[in-house]
Amino acid sequence: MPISPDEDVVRAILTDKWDGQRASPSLFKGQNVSVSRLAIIPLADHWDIFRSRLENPPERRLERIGEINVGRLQEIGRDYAHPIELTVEPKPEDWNRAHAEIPQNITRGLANKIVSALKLHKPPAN
Amino acid sequence: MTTTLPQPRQFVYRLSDNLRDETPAFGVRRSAPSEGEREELLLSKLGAKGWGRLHHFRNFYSAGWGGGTGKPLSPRALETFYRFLESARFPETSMPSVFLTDEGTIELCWEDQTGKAVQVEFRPSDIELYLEADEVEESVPASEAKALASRLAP
Repeated sequence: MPISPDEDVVRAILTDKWDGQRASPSLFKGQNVSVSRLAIIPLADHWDIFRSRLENPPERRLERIGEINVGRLQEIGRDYAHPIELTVEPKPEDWNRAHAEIPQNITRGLANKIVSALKLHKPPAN
Repeated sequence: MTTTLPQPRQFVYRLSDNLRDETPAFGVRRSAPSEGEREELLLSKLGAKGWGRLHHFRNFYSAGWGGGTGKPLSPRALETFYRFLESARFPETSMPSVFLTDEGTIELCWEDQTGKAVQVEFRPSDIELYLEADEVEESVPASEAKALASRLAP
């Protein structure tokens, strides 16, 4: 069952998708894009979860976490030149019980709109 | 007293028939750019940051990077990327960003002179293009890399 439009989801942004100036549109391009639900695990805890799973090789660093509201995501899909009804489906994993996926196929143009709407969080100061 | 000089030999070296190449030379082919020339190309078009990022992707991202499904940088995609760069020009105010996709392809993103996104993804056999100004999404064969670069030049 799709998660509520009221929920907020996040996506990890690592070195290969962030150059200090721009985020890569390929973050949201394609099918089954992975996100994580803030209703299940708070943002502060996501840093360690993403680091332990995704910082591979070690030179690949978690640079930002991008956040978007599910309702906003759906609005962007409906307003796009080729409208699409986006959903976010829960898909818990052993390493992240908040894991979810967007099953629809997202084109580069639509991904560009979604990435532009992300709220970017910097890593917390140690 | 007279002496006769030895007869001059007409052929000192004679190439055997099976080694002769009668094919006429139709033109001169430019040799492939050296690694040094490509480094220069990267630096001049993408700056030190772009050069460093590509170096990083080539040397640290082997199969299975990330969560286990990341693919290494595709050599064919890289060749297409270099061919594009040779003819590419970018707005002076918008240095492109270079990214590695999970599929091992290269993405180049910048803004045109009106501030709208231009995105190009170099894949093994084709190039995907997105122009925000015209809401254009299309792909062209990798063989058209140079023509595409000219088309996108400001």
